[in-house]
Amino acid sequence: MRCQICKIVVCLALILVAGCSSQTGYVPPPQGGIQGKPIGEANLKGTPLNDPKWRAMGITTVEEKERFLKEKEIFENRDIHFDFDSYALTDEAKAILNEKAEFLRKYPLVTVTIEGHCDERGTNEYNLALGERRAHSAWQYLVNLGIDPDRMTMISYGEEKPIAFGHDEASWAKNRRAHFVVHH
Amino acid sequence: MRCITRLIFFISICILFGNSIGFSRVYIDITEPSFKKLPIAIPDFRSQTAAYLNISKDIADVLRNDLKLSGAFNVLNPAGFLENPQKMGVTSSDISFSSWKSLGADYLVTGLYSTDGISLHLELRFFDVISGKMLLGQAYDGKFDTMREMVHRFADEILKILTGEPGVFSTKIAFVNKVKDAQRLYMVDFDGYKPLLLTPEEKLVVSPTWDPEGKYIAYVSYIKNRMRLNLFEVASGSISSFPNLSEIIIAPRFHPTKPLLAVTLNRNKNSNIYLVSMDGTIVDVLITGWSIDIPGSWSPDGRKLAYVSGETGGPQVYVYDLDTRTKYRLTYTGDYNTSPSWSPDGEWIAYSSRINGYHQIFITRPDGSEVYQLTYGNYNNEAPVWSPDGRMIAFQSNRKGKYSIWVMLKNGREQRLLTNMEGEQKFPAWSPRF
Repeated sequence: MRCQICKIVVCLALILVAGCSSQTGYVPPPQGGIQGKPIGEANLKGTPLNDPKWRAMGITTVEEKERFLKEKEIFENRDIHFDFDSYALTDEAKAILNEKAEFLRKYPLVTVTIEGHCDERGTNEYNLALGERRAHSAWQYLVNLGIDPDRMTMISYGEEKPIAFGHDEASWAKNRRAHFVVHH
Repeated sequence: MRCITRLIFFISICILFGNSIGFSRVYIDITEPSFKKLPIAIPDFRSQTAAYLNISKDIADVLRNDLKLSGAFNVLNPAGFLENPQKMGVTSSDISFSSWKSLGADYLVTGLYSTDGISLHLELRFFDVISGKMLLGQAYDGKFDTMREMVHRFADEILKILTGEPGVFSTKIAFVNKVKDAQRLYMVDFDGYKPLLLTPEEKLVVSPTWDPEGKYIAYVSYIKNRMRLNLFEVASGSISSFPNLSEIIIAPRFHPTKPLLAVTLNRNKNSNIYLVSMDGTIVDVLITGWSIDIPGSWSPDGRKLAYVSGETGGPQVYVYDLDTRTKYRLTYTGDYNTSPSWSPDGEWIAYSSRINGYHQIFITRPDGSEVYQLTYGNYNNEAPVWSPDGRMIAFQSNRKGKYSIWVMLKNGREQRLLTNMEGEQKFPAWSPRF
């Protein structure tokens, strides 16, 4: 809570600084062609971002936005993996979920879809159910870490949407996963 | 369905008492081990006009193929026939039964047709060669493109006369076909003719299930990273969605007698098997618990549900009794038993069981006695579903490298490829009789 207040104070300060700089420096209108952007004091803290969509998420500078997009990419690209016919979380999966919780805490306004996937060896409909359990395991763990359950929806693709197409353990291991998609 | 059953019963009574073919007959069971295929001769059909002679063989081929696929007939090669089909008689008085007998035929079908290319008049007659009697005669009138349908209907009737139960030649099999990244709903005739794409707009669908009257196919569709339960109307081709049931929707199965579906939903983040009405209202909760539970198949009377549960670890088949609200475990052999399917007469449950790393199809009695393995091999045979006459089972197999839909007799014999087409075909769902 205190941290939240700190953040708000920092944000307000940034907005004030940005506001001041725009009063001191004259910004000429663009006259066609590629133009350099004027650099003011505020750039030391970040280029202000005026898009209300981002500001609503608490992201007020270009740098923050870029950091968010980078972290989002890592968040989405890092699946957690499961053993054959299992939906129990491995220690490695738990470690990755801890990181995911951190991201979700840092950006409290994003929502996420947790997708459960399976390898091709089970039967199709049972795999849809197994995928659901895998998504649920991840969901449960994140809820236990304090993430608002309503921010996370689940879906199961079973074995219908593989990312590796071989018929061997290497491919199967990649496909036994929960995948995370961020909405913002 | 019940209506149809009654109608069949009524017709059977008519045949037994007071019909011209009402002699007492011992019905044959084509799936008995001792069964010997019935030799039948089907010469090309006779055209009443000089035009459209070219379809003479094609129409006869539809019937030859149906009867061959039934597993009940040995369809004699027409190349060995002596008479010119365009000149031979088609009614008892004009048929030389002794010469058909000498060719080894016990049964004979003759066909006579006339067409202008738009409408078609088709007369078909089925004879017992030994007694020289006509067992069935039917005339069909309709549009030319209903030709196959007419022949299928006649083949259905032939099976009824011989076995007491009509054939399923006019039924269809729905399935899901994956071509590149798109996985869509299709439907194909019993004989594999003309697979039709039903949902061109969809990107990913699974788990088609027919309603008991064959008017709708419900299936699960993925739209924008969400699962929806959709309803395809066969007559119009229109698609509607059930109201948002849950974020998870798995294995919907129409109830055999009431407008209800059993389906696994995840409500309040806990997945259970629910009974849902056609307007999306939850009517009942059937199976609850923390393990995986998904519907498999209703008993024909709708009072029991065979389902798959992971409550002891690997998936096993269970039966839930809706009257007593009790359950029992059906499968004890093997550690991966899924996809139960109840036979239309209620006497068997087919399912797939993994042995030596491959899924194979088995049948057992609903009390778990008498277990028979129907498929073998170093490939998967999965997702069995019964034909509405209970004589055949459709399933998915990857025996040719990719998955296709196959059909076999319920004794495991006569396995044939149903879907010979681009892509991978899975999730077979056999229609009821229309």
